[in-house]
Amino acid sequence: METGVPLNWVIALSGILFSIGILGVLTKRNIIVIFMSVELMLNAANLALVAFSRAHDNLDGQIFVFFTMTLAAAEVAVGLAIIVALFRLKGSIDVDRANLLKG
Amino acid sequence: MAGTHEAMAWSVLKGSVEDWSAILVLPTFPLAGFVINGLWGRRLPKAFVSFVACGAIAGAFLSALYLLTMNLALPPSQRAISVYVFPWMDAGPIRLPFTLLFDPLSLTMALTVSGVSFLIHVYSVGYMAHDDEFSRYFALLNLFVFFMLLLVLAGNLAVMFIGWEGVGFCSFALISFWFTRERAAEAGRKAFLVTRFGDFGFFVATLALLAIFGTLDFGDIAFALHANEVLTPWWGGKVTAQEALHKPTALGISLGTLLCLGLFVGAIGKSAQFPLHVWLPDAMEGPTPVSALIHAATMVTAGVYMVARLHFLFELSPVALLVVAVIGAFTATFAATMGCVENDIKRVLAYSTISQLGYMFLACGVGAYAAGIYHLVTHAFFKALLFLCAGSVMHALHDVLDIRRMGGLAKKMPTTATTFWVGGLALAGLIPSGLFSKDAILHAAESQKALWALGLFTAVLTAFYTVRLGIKVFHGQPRDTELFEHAHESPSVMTIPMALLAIGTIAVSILWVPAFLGHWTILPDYLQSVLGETHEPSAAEALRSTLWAVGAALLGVIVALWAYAWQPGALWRVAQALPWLYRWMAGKYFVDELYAALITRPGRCLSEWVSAHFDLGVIDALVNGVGWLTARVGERVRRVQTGFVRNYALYFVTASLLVLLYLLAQGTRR
Amino acid sequence: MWLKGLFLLVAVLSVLGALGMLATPNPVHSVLYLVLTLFCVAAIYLMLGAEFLAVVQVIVYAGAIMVLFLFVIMLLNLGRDEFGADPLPRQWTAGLFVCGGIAVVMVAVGLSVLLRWRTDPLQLVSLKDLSRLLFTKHLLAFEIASLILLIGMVGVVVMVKRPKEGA
Repeated sequence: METGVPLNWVIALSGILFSIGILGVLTKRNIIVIFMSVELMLNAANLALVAFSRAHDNLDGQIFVFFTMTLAAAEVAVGLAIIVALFRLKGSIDVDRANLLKG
Repeated sequence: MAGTHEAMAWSVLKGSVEDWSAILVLPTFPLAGFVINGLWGRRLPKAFVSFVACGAIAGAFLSALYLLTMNLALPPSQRAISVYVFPWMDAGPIRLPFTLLFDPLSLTMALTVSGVSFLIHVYSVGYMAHDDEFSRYFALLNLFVFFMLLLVLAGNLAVMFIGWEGVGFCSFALISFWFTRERAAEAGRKAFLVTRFGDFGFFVATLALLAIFGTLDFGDIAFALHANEVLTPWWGGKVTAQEALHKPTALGISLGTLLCLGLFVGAIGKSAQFPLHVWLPDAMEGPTPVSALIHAATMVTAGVYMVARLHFLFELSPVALLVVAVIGAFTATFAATMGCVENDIKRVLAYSTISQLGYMFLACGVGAYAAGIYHLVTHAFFKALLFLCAGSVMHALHDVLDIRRMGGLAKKMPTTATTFWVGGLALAGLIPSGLFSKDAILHAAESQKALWALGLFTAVLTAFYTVRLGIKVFHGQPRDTELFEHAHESPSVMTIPMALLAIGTIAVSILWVPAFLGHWTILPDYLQSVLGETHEPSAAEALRSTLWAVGAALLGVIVALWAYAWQPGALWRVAQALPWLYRWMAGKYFVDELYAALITRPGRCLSEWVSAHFDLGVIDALVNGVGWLTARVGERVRRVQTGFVRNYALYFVTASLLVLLYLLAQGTRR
Repeated sequence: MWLKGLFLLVAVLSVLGALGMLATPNPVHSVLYLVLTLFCVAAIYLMLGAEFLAVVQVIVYAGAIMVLFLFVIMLLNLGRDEFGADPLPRQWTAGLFVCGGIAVVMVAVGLSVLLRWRTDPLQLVSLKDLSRLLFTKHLLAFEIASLILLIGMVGVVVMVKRPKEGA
């Protein structure tokens, strides 16, 4: 009798969430929302890791997730600080305003 | 033919430069003068520049004298030495070492060149004293002497070619010395291009000689011909030298004839014979000492020297020799007629030079090479002298050239007038040495009656135009009193060389005195080892031929005196009666116009068309096109840098998608 | 059996949360939608037997990180997005295209990957085993992670300091 969570579906879900995150990074103009999309992508990756960890019966996967979360926290802190600095410079959080690299 | 002989040109010994280093010193003097004056002359005082320049030539002349003594000390059969200086071109089968030839003919030429050059350099110090480009003038003049010495001392045709081209370049540079004047610049270009035409023939003939004999050394080629050696020419197989030259080519002309004609074309160009004579009258745009040195005494004689040097080649082709003689005689008469109606003092002398060069070629064409060289030497003296007199007159009259504005100058410029008459009478063949050398040529030409008659007729004309010139310039009433008032004799730095040249003109006659006056044959005896024996006539024959020559000259003198001194205007009335004749002669027979229509104008049209369509249309378009393309591509590619972060992110993600697909494809393939 | 159905429900909910995060123009609403998604993911961790991670997810991600986002939004006083005309109108289509591609690939791979299905339901992982692994095999990483957190904190303070007036 199959009673566990079908791991293939978990991987598929991870893929879907990941691509939704990419869509957000590519199309939204609000920097904060872009950043949140990046967090979504990280979560999708974590999900896949946990699934594989369960599949191979190996706890290293979960440790990896633990570290990923830690780093995500640090990254969000620094990233938001940059966003605040950018806001102070440009007066807006529209990512299209940050176009000094225009050739 | 008079002067048939057994040439000894093949018995050239080989020498090394250690033994005969003096011969290397000879051309080095003027080269050093060129370097010093060329690099630093502008900043040095004029006195120093003149000293360096004249000193260089004096050094060359003294070295030549020293070499002469060395040469005379050798026994006659060993007087030709080929001095090997360094292995210049050594590429497989082609070996063209840099050799200098130390032999009587070279030394005669070297002495003449350096001696006359020296006097002209001294004269130039006075003539060019007020010119700003003093140092450039002397640097170029020294360079010219260097190349000319290289030409006459060359041991093979390749080295001679260096000198040949070098003098051509210096001639160009000196004719267009005052290059800001359009006429001078054009004259320089014309000289260069016309002689280039001739040089092409020379070059092709040289290459053919190399391809047949495998060497360009004079001694080696002469020996190969004399001993009838077996060669491997370019068309393969083995053949003897004589057979090679008699090999028939197109129109039944033998290869040897073709070669000689090619070489002679070079001589025609360089020595301004018909039909390539057109550059010499225009070359008078240059400073007068340049005309004296280059276009009277030295460069133009290079053609004669070359024919004399290669006489052993010409001997094998009677056709070529005939061509040489005919062109020489024809040009002599042709140029003399134009000189009779010319009103520009320098141009009269230019036509006279062309005419006298014709005499020299006539001499070579009938086999009397020594006579030709003798006339070359005497002509160098009196023609240079005549040009220097013309320069003196121009200097006094502020560069007026038209003889119709002169007259009676003998009172104001006695030295110039006296030296002019010395040179003029020598040119006319009435006083030694001109008398002796012209007589030697006419005597040698007696075997060809037609050519001899042309030679005599030319002698009449020569005397006529010389006396005409002398009278119109120096005697009679001054036609332009304004000019006459300001005329004065030239400074001694100019008159002393003229006097020395006058003395030299007469003194050089001791080199070869006609048979009826004794047997002084220093020159032909000295040149015998190179040019072969010269037929010495008996006293009676010599006297008879001299009387013919002198008679012709006197006829010309009398006509000129009648026309210009006793009955002025008489000849003008004759000319009016035959207007077409006068128009043809005064118009230089419209040769220039013919060339302009046939060659210059089509050539110019072609170059303009090519320049506009090909150069601008294709090449410039290509180069500009590359630039334009780069700019356009850049403009397009630049749009990738939109500045929007979202775009950049899109690029990443698309790329990573592609990588993903690739990995997928790799994975599923297994 | 019922676990599959529950999983499906939670999965759909998480996807809706993600889409909602992108759809709304109000940044605060975006944060809340993301929080929903994170909770769903935490639930899935539980279904996979990683209860420690589920809890850490809720505390750290939903509890700290999202709160930080909200702080910044409030600091910058952001309201509805009012940006004006979009200078890149075709970005949406390009994005959809690319993301669609990635999604298709991922799903295809995910569904075809051969994985061992765990048949034992809700086997919870022992915390003792996890921490033993953490403090022995991955000790260096642990220490470095804490160092990174320190550096991050220092960096943030330096970055948001206002320059002194007249300095």
